[in-house]
Amino acid sequence: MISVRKLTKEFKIPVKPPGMKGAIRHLIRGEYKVKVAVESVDFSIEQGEAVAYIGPNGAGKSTTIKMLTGILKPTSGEILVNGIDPQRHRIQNAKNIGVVFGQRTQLWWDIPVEESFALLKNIYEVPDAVYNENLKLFNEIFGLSEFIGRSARKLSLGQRMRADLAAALLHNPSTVFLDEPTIGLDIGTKEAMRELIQRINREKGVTIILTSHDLKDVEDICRRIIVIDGGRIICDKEISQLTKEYAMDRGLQITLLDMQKELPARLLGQEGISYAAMEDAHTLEIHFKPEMYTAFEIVEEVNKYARIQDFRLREPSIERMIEKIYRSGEQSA
Amino acid sequence: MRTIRIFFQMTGANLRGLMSFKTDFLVSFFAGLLSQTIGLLFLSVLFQNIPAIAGWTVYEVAILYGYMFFGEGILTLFFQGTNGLWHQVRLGDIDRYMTRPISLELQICGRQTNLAGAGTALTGLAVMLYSFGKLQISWNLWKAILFVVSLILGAGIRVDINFASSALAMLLEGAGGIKGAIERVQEMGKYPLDIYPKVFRIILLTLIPYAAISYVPAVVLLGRAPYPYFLLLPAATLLIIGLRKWIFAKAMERYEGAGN
Ligand SMILES: Nc1ncnc2c1ncn2[C@@H]1O[C@H](COP(=O)(O)OP(=O)(O)O)[C@@H](O)[C@H]1O
Ligand SMILES: [Mg+2]
Repeated sequence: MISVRKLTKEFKIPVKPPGMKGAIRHLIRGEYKVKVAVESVDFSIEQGEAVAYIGPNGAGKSTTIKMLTGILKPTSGEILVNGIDPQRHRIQNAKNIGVVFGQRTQLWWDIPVEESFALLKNIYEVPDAVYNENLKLFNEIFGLSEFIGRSARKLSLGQRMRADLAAALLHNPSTVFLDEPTIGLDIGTKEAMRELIQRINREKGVTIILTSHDLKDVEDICRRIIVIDGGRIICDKEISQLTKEYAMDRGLQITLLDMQKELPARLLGQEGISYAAMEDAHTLEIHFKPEMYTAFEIVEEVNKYARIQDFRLREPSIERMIEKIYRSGEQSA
Repeated sequence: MRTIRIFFQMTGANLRGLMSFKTDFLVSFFAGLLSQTIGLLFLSVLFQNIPAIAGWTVYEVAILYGYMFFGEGILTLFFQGTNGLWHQVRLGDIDRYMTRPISLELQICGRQTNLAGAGTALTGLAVMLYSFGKLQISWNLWKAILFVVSLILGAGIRVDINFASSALAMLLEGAGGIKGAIERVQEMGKYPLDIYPKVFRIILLTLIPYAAISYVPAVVLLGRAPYPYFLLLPAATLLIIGLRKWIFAKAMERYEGAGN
């Protein structure tokens, strides 16, 4: 169980004018610019939840994760991870958590993966039975045995991330933090990573906190979304709840035979049409309330003003929901 | 105990990693031997022109060289990871260490192993034993114990100076050259303390105690100073450990992650 109260992180960025003179001035005056990366964030996560922590680049996701894992000291606010303050009791907290950062490996570069695992086994004091059982599971899903004898340096990115995730899970952590774990990976590795994360969440009740730009990760693994933007939380909801709310709007993509610049404005004026815009010269994107129109009625309506070549219904996807959350977040900010 | 076991397991894994490149492994060992031999050549050339330095003969000065080589060898062999802390910050290594349930110092020390250090340390030992023989030192049990203790504490001091100056560079966010400057001071440990001005003598026994590694035990073993003088060595050890801990704690207090 994780609880976060009024969590804020400010970075002091040194203001160093260029040149020797600037460096000396900085040394004497110690001028800093303050960058607020995370601002008064609140949430709590129960054991066994799978939560997606998403937001645009620079939103403050990694900074939050680094505070939860004991790497960074909060400027203010309170964090408890399984009842432990991760900054003050770093070692105690580290025993219970697993961490994967997509861009960097957690393994030792120059020693065989197998030896890295053996080292981690001792560091985390993993009992033999647990260790062997876990290796068997990872092998089944990841095919580890193919490359376990090689050093991390000699692995492909896909193999390295498999090894990395396995290394983070060796000691049966109760909570796992995954910061962009699938970034840059091939489809096959992504699928395998999702499968393993899903399994430990569903079968072992491991808490998952995941950041990702690949919304397929979110769809497959998570049941709840927390959206952060500009350091502030702008949405925290169950995905099923979101789908209900946003599914009220249906979407149609209509390809027109002729250019129609003024068409969206004309359609938007009508009640029950929440969004209409030209995606490009010939493609109209339109969102409508299903209780007021059927898709065919919309097509007929558009057909009054323009000739239609093609159209298709757009599924209410997480991606579109998140676009809307960002948009409404910007409006309220 | 657990710390020591994990440290040796890390070092063992590092060594096995190195051994997978067999030629590299041997080359670096002999490179260690060779580089110190060049240092010794310099010493012998020096003494062809002058009979003594501040009353110290060539074999006496060679003992100082031996101590410094030995310390450097142990540093390079087992504690190479204490170099470049600032670099480790930027690589994200420190972030990684912080997510593991063991001390940061242990992970930093166990990070890298370099076999060149074995060559260096062995050269140091050989030089000392050979010089002691040439000087016809009269050994007793006390002296033997002091010799072993001085090797261990001396190597410890060498590692702590390196760790402390590396942490200082981290604290000052990479402030160019500070670590290298402190590193070069070690040359001063290879000559009798008597040749330096008083301020330097004090610094070399306290803040940057290279003289405690070599000069302090050497004067006692060579009979140039009474036994109690040896106590300067454990005193300097405690001081540098404290200093290293303090600087590293300060650096970690200011730590703001690897950045992005
Ligand atoms: N070590 C640091 N020093 C200064 N600024 C930082 C540091 N780490 C992150 N930031 C800034 O904080 C903000 C949030 O960054 P981050 O948490 O990495 O975002 P995200 O992971 O959501 O992309 C960004 O504006 C980033 O530039
Ligand atoms: Mg990030």
